Amino acid sequence: MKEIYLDCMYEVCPIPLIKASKELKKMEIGDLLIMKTDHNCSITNVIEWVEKQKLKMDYVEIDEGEWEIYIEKT
Amino acid sequence: MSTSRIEELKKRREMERDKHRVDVRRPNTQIKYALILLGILLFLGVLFARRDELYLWIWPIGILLGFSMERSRFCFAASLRNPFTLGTTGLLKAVIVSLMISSVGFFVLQQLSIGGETYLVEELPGMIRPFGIHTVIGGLMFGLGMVVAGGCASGTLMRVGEGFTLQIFVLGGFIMGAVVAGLWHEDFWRNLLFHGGWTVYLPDFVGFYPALFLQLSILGILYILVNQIKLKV
Repeated sequence: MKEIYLDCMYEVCPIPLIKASKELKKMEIGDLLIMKTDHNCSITNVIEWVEKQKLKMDYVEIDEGEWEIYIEKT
Repeated sequence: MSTSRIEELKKRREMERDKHRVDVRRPNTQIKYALILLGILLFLGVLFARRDELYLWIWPIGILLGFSMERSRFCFAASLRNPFTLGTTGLLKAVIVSLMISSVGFFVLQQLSIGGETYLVEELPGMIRPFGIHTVIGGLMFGLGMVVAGGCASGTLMRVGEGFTLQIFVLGGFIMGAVVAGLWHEDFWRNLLFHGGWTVYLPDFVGFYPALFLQLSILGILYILVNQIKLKV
């Protein structure tokens, strides 16, 4: 039931998702991954990829152009 | 699509954000800025339109295109890169659909510009140019560059507008490339690489309507293939 915080601010397109997929492999069931990013291309990528992996996620726009993404491993 | 824990977190974060905005006295909407921006855009539009009437169409269409691309988070670079790195093909399918729509659009444009019987392929709308080794080299360079830079032309412009600072350097780079290599050194590159190009224009071979049908069919088959692959990987 851990919460892992991943800071991907100012990173270009594939990087946030690659970091996230690495973290998700290490995480156990019930863990929560919080990603902070400001790249809007990453959001679409993450949403599509998470749907494929059949995980649960949601995101919040915390500031103009910055997002936090929550992914839970179920 | 989310669990109760995620929803809880999201609500908590949203409350934090709204409270922070009240604390620093920043409004939750930006209507004022939107109206000022709209005024500037209209003013610039009128300025451009007085120079050339074409801008009356290009300016609003360009702005609307950029706006819809930014809101839908469209990305040409991601459409080609994702199938290889992530196995997701949603964006690629979207690009194929937009190619089909543009094919129809250009078909209409070319038909209108021909009018009579004979035409020169170079003068048709759509910039049909010979292809050769330079096409392959350019394509490889662009592909490598766009993945490293995090986007191609439209994506970069869109993200600069959104406030993603890294893309400003990318913008500078591609302006430099276009000016230096494309404008100043054009003859040098042309003599070096543009050899024996072959201009392929489908309607020359099969006629206009068959060419359109062929192109749409091939794109349609590609779309179905891409859809099927998505299910397997």
